[in-house]
Formats: sequence, C-alpha cells, structure tokens
Amino acid sequence: MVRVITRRGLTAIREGREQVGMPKKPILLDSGSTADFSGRAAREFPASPIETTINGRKYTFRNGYNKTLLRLLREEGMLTGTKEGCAEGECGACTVFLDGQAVMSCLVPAPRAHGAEIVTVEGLADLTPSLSPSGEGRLHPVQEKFIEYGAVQCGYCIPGFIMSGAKLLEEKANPTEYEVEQAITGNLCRCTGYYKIVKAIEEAANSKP
Amino acid sequence: MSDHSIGTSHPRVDARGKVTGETLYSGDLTKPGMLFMKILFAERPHAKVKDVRIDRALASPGVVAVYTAKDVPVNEYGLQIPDQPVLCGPGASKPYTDIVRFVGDQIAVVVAESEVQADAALKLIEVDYEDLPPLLDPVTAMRPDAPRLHPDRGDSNVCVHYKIRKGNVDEGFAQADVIVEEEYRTPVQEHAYLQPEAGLAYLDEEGRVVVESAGQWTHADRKSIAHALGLPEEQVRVIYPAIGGAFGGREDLSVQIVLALAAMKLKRPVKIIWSRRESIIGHGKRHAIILKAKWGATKEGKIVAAENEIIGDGGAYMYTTNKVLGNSTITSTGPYFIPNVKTDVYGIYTNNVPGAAFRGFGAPQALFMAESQMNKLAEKLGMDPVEFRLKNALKDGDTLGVGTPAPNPVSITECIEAARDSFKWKKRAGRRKASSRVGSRPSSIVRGRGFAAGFKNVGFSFGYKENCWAKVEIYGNGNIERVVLHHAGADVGQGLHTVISQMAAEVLNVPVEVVELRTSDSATQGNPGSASASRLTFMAGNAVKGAAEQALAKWKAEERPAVAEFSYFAPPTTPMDKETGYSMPNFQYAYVAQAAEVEVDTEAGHVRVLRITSADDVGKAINPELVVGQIEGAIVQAHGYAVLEEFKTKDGRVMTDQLSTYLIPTIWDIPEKVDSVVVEVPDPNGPLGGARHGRTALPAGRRRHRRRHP
Repeated sequence: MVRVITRRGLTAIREGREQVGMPKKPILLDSGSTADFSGRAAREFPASPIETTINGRKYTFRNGYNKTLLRLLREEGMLTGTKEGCAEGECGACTVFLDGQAVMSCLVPAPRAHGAEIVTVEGLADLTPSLSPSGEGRLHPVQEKFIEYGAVQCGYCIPGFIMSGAKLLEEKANPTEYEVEQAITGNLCRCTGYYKIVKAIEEAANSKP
Repeated sequence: MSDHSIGTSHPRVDARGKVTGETLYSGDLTKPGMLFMKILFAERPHAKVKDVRIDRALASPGVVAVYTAKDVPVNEYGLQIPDQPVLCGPGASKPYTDIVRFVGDQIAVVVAESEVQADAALKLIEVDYEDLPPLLDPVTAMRPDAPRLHPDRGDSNVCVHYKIRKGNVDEGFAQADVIVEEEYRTPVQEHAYLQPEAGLAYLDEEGRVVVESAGQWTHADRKSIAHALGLPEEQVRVIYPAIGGAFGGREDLSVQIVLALAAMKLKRPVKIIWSRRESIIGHGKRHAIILKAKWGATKEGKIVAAENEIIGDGGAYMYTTNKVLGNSTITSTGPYFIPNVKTDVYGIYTNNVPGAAFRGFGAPQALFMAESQMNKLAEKLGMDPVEFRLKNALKDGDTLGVGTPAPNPVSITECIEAARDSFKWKKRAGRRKASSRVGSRPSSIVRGRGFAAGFKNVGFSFGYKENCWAKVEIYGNGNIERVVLHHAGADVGQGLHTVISQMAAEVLNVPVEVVELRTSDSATQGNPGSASASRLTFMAGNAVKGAAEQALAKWKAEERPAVAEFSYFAPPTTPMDKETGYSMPNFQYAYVAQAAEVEVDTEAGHVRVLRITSADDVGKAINPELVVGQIEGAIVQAHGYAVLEEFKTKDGRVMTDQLSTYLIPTIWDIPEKVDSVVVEVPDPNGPLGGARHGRTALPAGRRRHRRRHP
C-alpha cells in the first residue's frame, strides 16, 4: 500500500495534479482574527494572574496557569459546557473561539488566554429574557437547527460542533455542503453518523437573516 | 389524540440543554470539599501481585487516602457473575483476586485534594509483580491443558458452551447440491463514546453512598456496588446525570465501586474523570469471534443444513459474554428457515480486554458469518442473492435453530422487499463476474453491490423475568395542568426520555411540554432494566402506558393528585436446553435488511460506500426522526467496524489507546448516502400502536466487500 500511495503521489506531482480535489479557499474557522500575541509570551506566570474575557465577561485567574485552556475554562472558570473527549486535538469537543478563531482548547496553554477574547458554547446564545416570548432568550441559529433537525443524540460532542458550525457561518454566510464538511472535519461524533449535523448547519445558514 | 403525541418527530426534550452547554454530564459535577481520585492500572496482561507498597504515595502532598485490594470489603464484582476483583492484590477478602488478568485491571486508587496531586502520588506506589505467560489466543486457551485463568470457576477456560441440535445435519447435507464451508474472523471494536468514564460519589443526607456516573442500568449498578462494599442495596444510591454515549460499553462497571468505597470511608465527595487512554484500556470491547460455517442448499435454492462452530474471545472476565454469545447462537442461522442445524458456541477466558456488550450484542458477528454464507451459496447456485434470501426467509410459524418459531410478526420478508425496492436492486441472473470496471476511473477501482439481512432480540432473553417500572403523577383541578413521569431508564443518547414523554402525553392527551421528567435515581424509582437489548422503547413504553392509564383512571375518579405506579412484565421466555438448545428464547425480534453500493480501490485497499439502504422494522415509530437518527448512527458505526477501525494489541497490551490511533469515522469517512426505510409492522404486544424498538440493531450483515486494510 505504501508503494501504491507513493507512486500515486509522485505521479500526481509530476503531472501537476497534486492539488486536484483540494479546496481553493479552504474553510479556516477564522473570522479574521487580529490577535497580537507579541509581548504577552514574555509575561511571567504565576507572578501575574491571567486576565481574560470570556463570553463578554472579565475573568481574573490566579490559578491554572499550568493547565490547558480547556481545563482553565472548566476547572477555574466553571464553564463546563466545553467538553474533554481526548485531550489530544482529535475529537473537537473542546472547540472554543479564541480571538475570533475556532481552536481546540485542549491544545492551547492556559496563559494564552491572557488578554484574549474567548467565546464558549455558553456564550453563543443571547439569553436575555426579553428576546423571546417564553422568556428563554434567543438561541444561535445553529443551536436552533440542531434541535429542530435531530442533530443531537448523547450530546457530548455537540458543543464542539455548534462552535465549528457557528464559526463557519461567520466566515462564510452561505457555505456549500463541501464547506460545511470542511468545517467539521475536526469534530468527532459517535452517535449520529453526521448526516443530521450537516443538515442542521446548512439549515442554519439558510435561516440566517 | 394530542397534536404532540406518538408518531410525530417531537424535538428531543433534552436537546436545548445539550446545545447550550447547560446539560451536566458526570465529569461536570462538583461538590464543596470534593476530592479527586486516580486509579493505578496493572498495565500488564497476566501477573500475580506479590506486594503493593503505598507508604511513599500516602506521604505525598495532598494525599488523603490510598486503597488497595485489602480495603475492599467484598473484593469481587461482575454483571453476570462476580469473577473480577475490584482491586487486584494480596490479602484480599476473596481468593484469586491477587491475579491480574488484563491490562485494565485496577491495583490501587489514590484520593487527594487535587487531581494533579493524586496523579503524582500514583507514581509513588510500588508494586511487585510476578509476570505470568499471557493466554491471548482463545483457541489455545480452550485446550484442556491450558493454565486456568479462574481456578475457582470450572476446570477449563471455557466459560460458555451453547449447543443447538435441530434435525439431522448429515441427512441435510446429503440432500444438498451445493455446500459452502468457510471460516470467518471478526475483530474487536472499541465503543469510543465521546464521554470518557467519570463519576462523583458522596454521602447523601440519609447517609447513603451516592454514585453519580454514566451507566446503562441504575439498579444493576447499585447491586454490584452494594455487593462489593458489603452494604444493603438500600444504602447505595445510583443516579445518572446526562450520559455521553454508551453502545453497551457502560453496562459493566468502571469507576463506580472504587468511588463509592472512597466516599464511604472518607465521608467526603470524591470525583474521577478517566482520560481517553484510561477509558480505552479500562472498559470492555466488542468480542472478537472466530466463526466456522458449513452450509448446504439444493439447486432449487432451499437451505437444507447448517453446521457452525463459533469461538468468542471473552477476555479476562465474563462481563456479558454468556448473554452476548447466547444472542450469537440464536442469530447464527440468520433470519432464515433451516431444517437441520448443528451449532456449538464457546466463550473463552483469555488475558485480553474483556469482551462486552456492544450494539447488536453478538448478532453482528454471527450475522456476518450467516450473510457471507448466503452470498456464497447464492453465487454457487447462480442465483440472485436477494431472491435466494426471500426463498429462505423466516415466515410466521417457521422454527428457528432453537426448535420453536419466532414470535409473530416475522417481518423479514417485508424488510428484504423494502430494501430491495428502495435500493432499486437489479436482479443478478447467472454467475456474477468478479468485478466491473467503472467508466473513466483508474483501472484499479471497481464497484459492486451487496445485500444483507438480519434480526436480533428485543428484550432480555432466555427465561429472565423481563420487567420495567414507571410512575405517573397527575396534578391540576379541572384540567390536567402538570404531569410528572418517573422513570429510571437510561437515556444514553438514543432519546428514551423524549419517547416516554411522548407516550405519557399520548395516553393523557396533553402536550409533551406538560410532562415533567424525574429520571434515573435508584433511590426513588423502581427497576427499569437496562438500556440495552433494544428493549427500552418496548419495555418502558408498556410501563409508562400502564402507569399513565391507571393514573388517568384515578384522575377520572377525582383523585387529586392522581398517582399510579406500574410494572410491566413481558411475555415469558425460556433458557436453552443444554444439549439441544431447545427453547423459546425471546418474546420478540427486530428485523432489518440492507443493500449497499461500494467502490473498492483494489490497489490501495480503500473502500468507499457510495450508498446504503437500510430497511428496519420498528413496529411503530414513536418518533420517526429519532428512529432515522438511530439507523444513520448505527450504519456509520458498522461502517467503521467493517472498513476503518482497527483495535491493535501487542502481547496483550493495547497499541491503539487514543483517538489518534484508534480511528473512528469522521465526516469524510462515512457512506455518502444513507437511505433509511422505516418499516412498520405492528407488534401485538407493543405499546401504543405496536412499538418494538427505538435503537436499531447494528446493521445486520456487513457489506459483502468487508476487508481489512493491508
């Protein structure tokens, strides 16, 4: 098999076909992050606390500088909506927005949160009671469509899919099916088989005002 | 009838919490003063534990306690038989519990103020092992002269042996015009539910030990925990928060007993979360099975005899091997009428990770054999494989291998026809060519189609007194204002809570939103039975229906509030006769048929499933969207099993112990198109229009093109 794949790869390069089938503009799950990280790396932890903004609220963490961002959010911020499924960047259940970019928070050192803007699954909906007649606020369209189209089963992977889906729609308001797939290649689900998840994200794109 | 009742795809009642991140899983729980636990695993397949020294670990910063085998009141547990030590080590309350029998056996637990401290102390525990030669091959392990892994359990490592003797296979083969004799091997599969094992244990206000964790049967968990701790069952309380997938892998215990032990001794809350690696080495797997089959058919296309030998690798402990292989026994002749059957099924103790329940519960392996035999027979006969299946499909009154008919309705013909028609299966006349080239694609890519059918039990089998409890409370004055439904059945993601809410709403003629759920607490609810055996829609449905009807009768008699409890008992079944297998093993089966179109790159070994049609008879679909979700999810899991996943071990050690090495399907690995056909043949015993099951059996036969990557 190695021989076959090597031969095919080399043949494709010779014929200039090595990028055939790859997207010209791949989905990056990045809606224009402008993070300036220079200077922050030099800060000394734990001498100074991690000061960060999560879901629009200011947080100061004096502990957890040696954790991952995921553990910082869950254990210090008590924001448990973001899940740990593998702790090695395989499953995507820990996806959050970090300075406008969707990242797997299990791979991000906690000090990177310093000075950053973070959004977790808890911050996606606007739960201001006046926004809906029932007083429950307004969900993000991706959240609404996951409910409506049966994209949720056990739900453990779902926060990650919701974040990937929501970021995709910021990057691309009307994604193709192929682009929806690209957006969730980093998320694993063992229950649904993905079909209803793709459908829900597509419907969310269609429903956006 | 209410607008929100059964037969409509009401959104899941738990979906909102799951999309907003509010839903709490066991790893999300906290309590003031909470301690953390880490477990020391044996990390070797077979050894005698000579000594466990904990002094250095105890002196480590933040450590509150270290427990070993000596500290467990009754050092044994197991869902079917208590053959597994809670902790392996010397000086325990039970004999032979100083033996490590697989890599995931637990040696000691550390409880500390923080997880980091517990982890640091774990490395300070010193264990002296005497390594023993591991028995890793079930065929070697079943020999009479093989060393016994459980010296106190019989005189060999054969822990299960079932026989079927129906008719006379020699006479049957004498009538056969064609015979196919083959050997098949199906691999281990890891559940890979996204939520690794976790739990929180504490004492409640009544002094009971509470364990909040993910499981599949509250009351069975409680029984095992109480047994190991030497407590009456009432002193143990099992609660399930949200459960992050199960698929059978949470039927057996993982962290529950040691958590309860620590909470009981320390009188403080104790929490644990397993890493993915701990989860993969620490819980059971789908059984690897060796299947040998010799089947014969006449030139008219009638199967006349089947002789099977099935050897399942049970791994280190029983778990549910006896029941899984029972189900393999029943399904090993496929959903077909075969007049002469001889089958021997063995379960073998080895030093591998235990074989456990996994979606389909022994049926997928046996059906893979049966369906492969069917395809080979059809090919030898020059007959269309669908037509050949229809000729032999079970009909009402036909006897199974166990000598009794499958209960009505037997809907395999309807499923085969539905799959055939929806797929637009073209009849294959005469002998099939090995492969067909596909248009302008590289010459190495060929396409083919495959067809498979299957069946499996709904509900517990073999004489178990199958029952399920529910309670309904109705509040209001003139009108029903509020309904409280109590049920302990586990919603492992399949949507049980939604389905039982719909059923209660249907009976009481109220919107689903009026139904409030009280779920999965062994202290306040009766025994639900497990979330397995494709049983809960049927069993819980009948229990909820009964409770709701009785509560409604009280409501009409002006009782306020109107409260009723109800236990449903399923039609009785009987165990297999030891020599012949004769029995009425199940009160009901679910039937399925599937067709697939597959592309295979014959050079690189890559398999693409272009489309797959699955026709599943569910009786009555209470919530069609949930049913389709189950079919799609089952197909993708089966697809992973067939073409992608590979659980690798070396000398009994797990090599694929992360999601980066044990690969499950991503969005780009799945069949390109799934066409779910929901067949509805009502069941006379089914609740509310004949519902049979919600969670489809694993797609019965894997595609014909199943292959291992080179």
